[in-house]
Amino acid sequence: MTDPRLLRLRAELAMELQKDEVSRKYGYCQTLLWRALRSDALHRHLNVDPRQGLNLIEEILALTLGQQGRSIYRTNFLAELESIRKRLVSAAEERKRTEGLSKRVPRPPAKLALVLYLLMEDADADAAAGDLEQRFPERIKRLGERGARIWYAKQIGTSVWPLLWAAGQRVLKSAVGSVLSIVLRTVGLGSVADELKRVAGVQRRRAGIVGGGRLEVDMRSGQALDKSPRESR
Amino acid sequence: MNDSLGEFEVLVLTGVIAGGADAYGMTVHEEVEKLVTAKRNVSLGAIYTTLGRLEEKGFVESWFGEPTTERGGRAKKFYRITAPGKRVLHEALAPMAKALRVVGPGWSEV
Repeated sequence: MTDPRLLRLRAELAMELQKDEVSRKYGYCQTLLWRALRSDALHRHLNVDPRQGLNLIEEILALTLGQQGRSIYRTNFLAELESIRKRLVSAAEERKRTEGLSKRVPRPPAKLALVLYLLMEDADADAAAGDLEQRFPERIKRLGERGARIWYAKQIGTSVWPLLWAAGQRVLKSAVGSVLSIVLRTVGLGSVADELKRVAGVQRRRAGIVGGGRLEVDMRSGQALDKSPRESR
Repeated sequence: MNDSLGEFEVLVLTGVIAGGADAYGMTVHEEVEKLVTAKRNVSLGAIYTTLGRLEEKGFVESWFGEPTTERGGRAKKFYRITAPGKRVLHEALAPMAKALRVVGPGWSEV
């Protein structure tokens, strides 16, 4: 407790507790306690760290009970302090909760990014989803949160067809390659067939239809968790 | 290597150049949107698909940056045009530039 006003309150309380008049002591302690609770210093402490404010209450409680152990007011006083402590804890929690709400950063609808992971290579999907997420706060400033969400959904929605088309082309190339490979093997041109098979495999992996591993996606962030071993370019 | 460029590939390559040294998907997307008419919708998916195709052809090269929190822990993929890319872009744009010079300024108002 470093605030001079709180130190002064503590000194006043300690002085008052030297007196023997129990009932007056009780009344004065109450007054001091309420003054402490209303003081800016305590509230500032509570704003910074609720525990510091509660420490003060604990200190007053310890000082009071140390001198007033046999007092008939002990039970009442303890109950009152406990009730004040509970109110303070509840106020601090409420403040923390509202501060937390006001600082909430809107997040993009990341589940939509799953579409990118389904239709693109993981690394490219990561890059595209990251681009959208990076631009999201800027869009909130320009369009508001709802507008930004619509913008995000539109970016993904309009990307589906080109991505699907590209993936389809790669699948087609892969299928044609496989058929040609079988034909070439039949006519005895195995080495050419092997090369075609390799190319077809690359196309299948790039189309995202054969991963060689599982594609697990974090439902909150939309990020791929388990990267399939894909061919590096 | 197929050296011909489609119209959209020309736009994307131009976008990569306009995006500067640290061009990435979204900056290329924005540059391409500036180049096309307002009626034409350019999707980020089309940009990435085209960039992938251009990379396969050897006209652009890419590398990954560090993952950042503002991108949800995802890395940025940067692109830059290669020497063959510059050559084919020049070949694609040169006839158009000549044509524009021939018709002269203000030709569309006739």
